[in-house]
Amino acid sequence: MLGGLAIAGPILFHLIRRSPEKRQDFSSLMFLEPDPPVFSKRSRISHWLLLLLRCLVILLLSLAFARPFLRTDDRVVAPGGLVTHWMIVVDRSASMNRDGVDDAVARSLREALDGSRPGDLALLAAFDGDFEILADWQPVESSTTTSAFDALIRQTPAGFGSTRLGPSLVQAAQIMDDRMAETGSRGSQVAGHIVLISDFQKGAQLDSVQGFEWNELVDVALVSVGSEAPPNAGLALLESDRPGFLRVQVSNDAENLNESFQVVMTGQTSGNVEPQTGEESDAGAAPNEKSYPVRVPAGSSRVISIPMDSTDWANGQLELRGEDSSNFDNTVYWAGSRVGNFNIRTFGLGDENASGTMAFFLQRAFGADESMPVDITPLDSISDLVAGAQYFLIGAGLQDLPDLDDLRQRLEQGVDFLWLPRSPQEFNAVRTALALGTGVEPDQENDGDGTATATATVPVMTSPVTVENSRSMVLLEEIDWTHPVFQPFRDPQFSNFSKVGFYRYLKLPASWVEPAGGRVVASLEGDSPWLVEFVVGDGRLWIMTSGWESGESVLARSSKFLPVLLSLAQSTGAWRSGSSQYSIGDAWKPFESDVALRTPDGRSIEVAAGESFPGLEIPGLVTVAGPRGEYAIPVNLDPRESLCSPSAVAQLETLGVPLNPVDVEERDSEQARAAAELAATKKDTEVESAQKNWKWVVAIVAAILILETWLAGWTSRRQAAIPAGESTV
Amino acid sequence: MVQNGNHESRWLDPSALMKLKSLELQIKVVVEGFLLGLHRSPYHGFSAEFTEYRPYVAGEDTRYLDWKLYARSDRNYIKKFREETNVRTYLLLDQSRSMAFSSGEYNKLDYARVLLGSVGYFFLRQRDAVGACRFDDTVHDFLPPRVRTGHLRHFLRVLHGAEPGHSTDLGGSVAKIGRLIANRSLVILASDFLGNLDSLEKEIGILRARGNDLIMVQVLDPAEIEWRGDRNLLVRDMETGREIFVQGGQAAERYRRRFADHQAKLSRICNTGGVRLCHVSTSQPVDQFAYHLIKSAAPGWLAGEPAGLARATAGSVVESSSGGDK
Repeated sequence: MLGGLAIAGPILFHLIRRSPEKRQDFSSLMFLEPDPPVFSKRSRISHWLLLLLRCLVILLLSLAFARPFLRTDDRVVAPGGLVTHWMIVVDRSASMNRDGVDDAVARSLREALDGSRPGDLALLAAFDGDFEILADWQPVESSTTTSAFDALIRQTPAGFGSTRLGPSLVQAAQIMDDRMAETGSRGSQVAGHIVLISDFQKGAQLDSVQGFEWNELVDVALVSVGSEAPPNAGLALLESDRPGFLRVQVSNDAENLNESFQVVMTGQTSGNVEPQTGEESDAGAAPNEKSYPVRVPAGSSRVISIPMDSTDWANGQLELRGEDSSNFDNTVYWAGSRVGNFNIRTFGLGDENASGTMAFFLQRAFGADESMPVDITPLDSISDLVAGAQYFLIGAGLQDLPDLDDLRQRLEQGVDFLWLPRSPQEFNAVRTALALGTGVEPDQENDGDGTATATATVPVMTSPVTVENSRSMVLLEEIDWTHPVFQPFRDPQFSNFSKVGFYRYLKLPASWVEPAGGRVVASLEGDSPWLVEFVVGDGRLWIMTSGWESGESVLARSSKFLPVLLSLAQSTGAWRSGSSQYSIGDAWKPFESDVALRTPDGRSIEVAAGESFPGLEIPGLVTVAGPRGEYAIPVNLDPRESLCSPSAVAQLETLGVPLNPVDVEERDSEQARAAAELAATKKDTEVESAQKNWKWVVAIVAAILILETWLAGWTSRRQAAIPAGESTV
Repeated sequence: MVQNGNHESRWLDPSALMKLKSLELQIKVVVEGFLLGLHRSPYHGFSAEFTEYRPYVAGEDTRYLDWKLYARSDRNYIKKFREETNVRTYLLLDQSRSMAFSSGEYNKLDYARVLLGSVGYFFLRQRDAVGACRFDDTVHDFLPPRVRTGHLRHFLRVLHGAEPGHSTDLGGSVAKIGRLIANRSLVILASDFLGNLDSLEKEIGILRARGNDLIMVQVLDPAEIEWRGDRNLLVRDMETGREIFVQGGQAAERYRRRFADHQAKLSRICNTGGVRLCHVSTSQPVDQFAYHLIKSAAPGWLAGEPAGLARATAGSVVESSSGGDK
């Protein structure tokens, strides 16, 4: 409507004008200064009609831009029907165990519902690694609700979990959205208010908040409770980079005045695992203690390696001692190098001590890795395999095995088998025993000379299997890079197999493989398969037509030998790599068939083979007792929990979390007003878009402008005809 | 400050002079009556006129050994001569649009053109090399100094081509011209100096530091020296086209004050830079001022001048601001 004031313009210009007596050119204005214009006062208005038209144009234009419409309903929503949803989310992660934090939580909880009014709804939730609703939506009755929430939080003390703040906040917002939508559908005005009580430590995981679209009626109040807690120094066990050493990271809080610490190592020999926690560890000098001084400046961290070689300890704990008054993350548990397991069983690979045999090379390929114990055992018969356990079988010369017929059964049970057939006779015998093909019975399949004769379901072998001896090296011609075994070599940097050559190999007809249900993974020159994969039940059979025996090929001496074998091994179910440590909440899967666990708090749990145990809840050493003896797995706090400096608040702000103003009552009334205005504006917009009166106004303006142009032209022509006429507007 | 009037009848009436169509004729009329004379160089060289003997020092060019004296006296002497140099003069003409201002029959550009033409013609007659160029916000038609026959035509063509161009960029133009002047020269710059002087100070300092002698001639219209507008005026800047409204009485006082400040600043800049500054009003006789200018540029050239002429010049025309002659 201010645009309407623009009408004053033409009137003012009409009545007032500057009246310089003369216009003069001058060389420079640098010595002159503009004086205010002198206006002549004219009370007489000339050209009434033109002035009127121009004023009308401006008036109508301002009206058109105001987009006028006829309001049909002037109802304004009153803020009385507002229901505020209060969601109180309390951090229960390990870092909340610090001294003084619990009191702060209780205090914050009492104040959290201060701004609530009767009729509001409240929900209490807690989170660490997981989000848990402790009390579902309920009407707020100020003192009752607060004390009920307080009691619930006391029943849920802070655990040892990590702080997954981001996912929890997102989950809270989604729950809030659902509830607000439900309340809103009943016709009430709604507002959401999430009160997040946490220490907002640096290690909180916030990534998932990024990009989350927040409901504009929801805001988040951050109540920080960790600030009273003393500064913290923490200890974390890292993956070891060299055998025989533990890698430990000591981090120090930026506000900690103390910089000198001692990492004290204690341990037990294998089989002497006593369940213990950090609180029980005695700082007094024990005979089986080793102390390592470490100096960590405030605000930084340092990684040290602690040798295990000099002791015969199998597991134990490391404790950080110094002037650190937070005790919650000062102990980590460690166990020896038993982190993985790989069972290889061999048949007919020769003497492992005789140079040049396949067993000789295999032993050297796998024997050196201490972090991954590989058990390579030669077997005499299939029956030596323990039922239920997972093995990687590598065999050659199988026709002499007494119980060859059991092999298929073992494969179906999940054993993976790398078979290196040495002769056509062996190939055919084993092929028969394994019933390679489409489920054909062994006795129907083969007549012994390599050609299939039996039923129509047996794939036809177009040419006999032969042993090829070549004077020159036969190279790999085609490799299926999409296969998991060769996928790691896909990069051109690693895909050069031209140094891997073969002199003696078993020539299989390639056309037989696919109908028989196999897949050629790699082929030699002349379209002869080198590596063929068959899936048999739960297990897999690899046929390698040329092995790595000295004189057979140069595979064992090429740089590709170990990577190919490892890649094969990792694709088998028997390869069980593990971590040197576990964090709270991790799942653990036993290597053996059935094991008995003893947790640090003394519980005994049976875990069957193939199942995973998700209950690593308490830091400490979990004892595993299985058929292969007793050993311990260390369970520690998430190292991120040690990063206690409260820096997540600033991050949340930058991640777009709608942080709320402090004054809740004012906020609520403002929100109600904003909601009412929003609704009214929406309604107005609908009415306006239906009427569109402004279009008519613009059309009238255009018509007036045409009239004004014609009139002005006519006037000036008329004035030109009268030389002594007055000037126009 | 320029003093109008008070010139004797021997000087040409500038209005009458400006009515002559040919620049060549104009300048010849002006220079008529100037006495011819030789100027002596302060530098020693190896030319015609002997000055002294000096003992030979090993390593010197043996060309200038006086062999005859050596034959006579068995001593080595170098014969020294007085060098007769030619002054290289650059005449710079401001052709910015403000120079087209006129309150009378001819504008400042016409006046400055005849003035520089006369000075240049005189120098050429003295066998001194004369170069010229015009400038506004850039440099036009730079003519290097020459003394050869026919150079007068080129010189006059440069001056004659002066048309009111764009706005003035004094500092920038002087800087560009300074880069074009290779040797130590006499530079005479004619302009109204109605513009930003801040950049000028630095540039004339550079020009002087290269050993050039600089004379700045401020050509002003009488209407610029004294603001005569006593009525309300809509004044348009000739260079920028900007228009402002001024009220007669208030503007005159303000103009006077600011103009005085500007002139004082210009004088201070010239003083600091060791530059001779001459002011001239377009109502002054051109020949009178040209005479003075030549005298100021090269004292001694006009030796034997009539005493009355010298007195009249000194008393009436110019007030120079710095070290130069009156």
